[in-house]
Amino acid sequence: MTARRTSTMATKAHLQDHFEDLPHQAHALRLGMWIFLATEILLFGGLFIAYAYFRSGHASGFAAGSRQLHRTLGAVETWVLITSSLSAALAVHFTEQSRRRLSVAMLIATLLLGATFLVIHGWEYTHEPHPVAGARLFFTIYYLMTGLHSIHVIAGIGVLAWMAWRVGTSAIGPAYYTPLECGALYWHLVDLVWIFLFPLLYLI
Amino acid sequence: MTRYLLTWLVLCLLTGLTWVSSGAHLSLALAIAVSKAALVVVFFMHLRDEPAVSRLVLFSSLVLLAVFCAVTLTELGTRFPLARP
Repeated sequence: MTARRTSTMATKAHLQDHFEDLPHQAHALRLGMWIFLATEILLFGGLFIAYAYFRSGHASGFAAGSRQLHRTLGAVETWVLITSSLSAALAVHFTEQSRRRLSVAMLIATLLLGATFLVIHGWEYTHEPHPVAGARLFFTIYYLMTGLHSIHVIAGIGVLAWMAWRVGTSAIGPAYYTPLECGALYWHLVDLVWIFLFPLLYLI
Repeated sequence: MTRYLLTWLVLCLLTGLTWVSSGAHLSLALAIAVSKAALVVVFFMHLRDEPAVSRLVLFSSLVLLAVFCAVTLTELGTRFPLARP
């Protein structure tokens, strides 16, 4: 009971009534997030295996298709996403340290970097040269994988914008910030997928 | 915080390395990608501080993916040549 009595205002504000206490709730939320991330890994994993499957029979077509892509832009996009992952991690760190303004600034930086990624990638989509003969399968996989990834970036921007709002209005603070952590985990997963897409699509 | 910045710096260096070595063997690019992924998972996603059950979830998804990959590619590799896609 003493633990109950020492529960702060923050606990009362955040605790859902179906959980015993805040650590339980945080643990359940984080575990749920990791299970969701595992399903995402399998979702993208299926596409990576489709890539390996088709590439094994059409290596020259894949190489020809890959040469049509802009390597340097791909590297810039990788850098943008890696940096956005850093700012997302720092946003969690600053919330933990009760530095609300800095945390919101980091979240806004993440959103802007995510938008930059989408703009560069959109530019690539509109400036792609006509698929060369034999590379149609490569471009099918390319559009499917990068398209699904871009949808994830858009979803991640939505989630982190919501988190920025909640941190900014002090709805999320140092006492309980697991939702922010989960939002950041999702963003890191989006970054992870791109880390593999970049060499497999741009650098073969 | 220094830990995050260092991780980011190494990630940038590795990205530069893949870009420079593009066109080299695919296994090099993949090895770099795996190391980058490991850095992101361990330091940005705090896998070190996660409870064991989260690590188990991540690990089982990777095992399932490996099984999926191994079975599919074995099937492809052992096909009668004319039945290849």
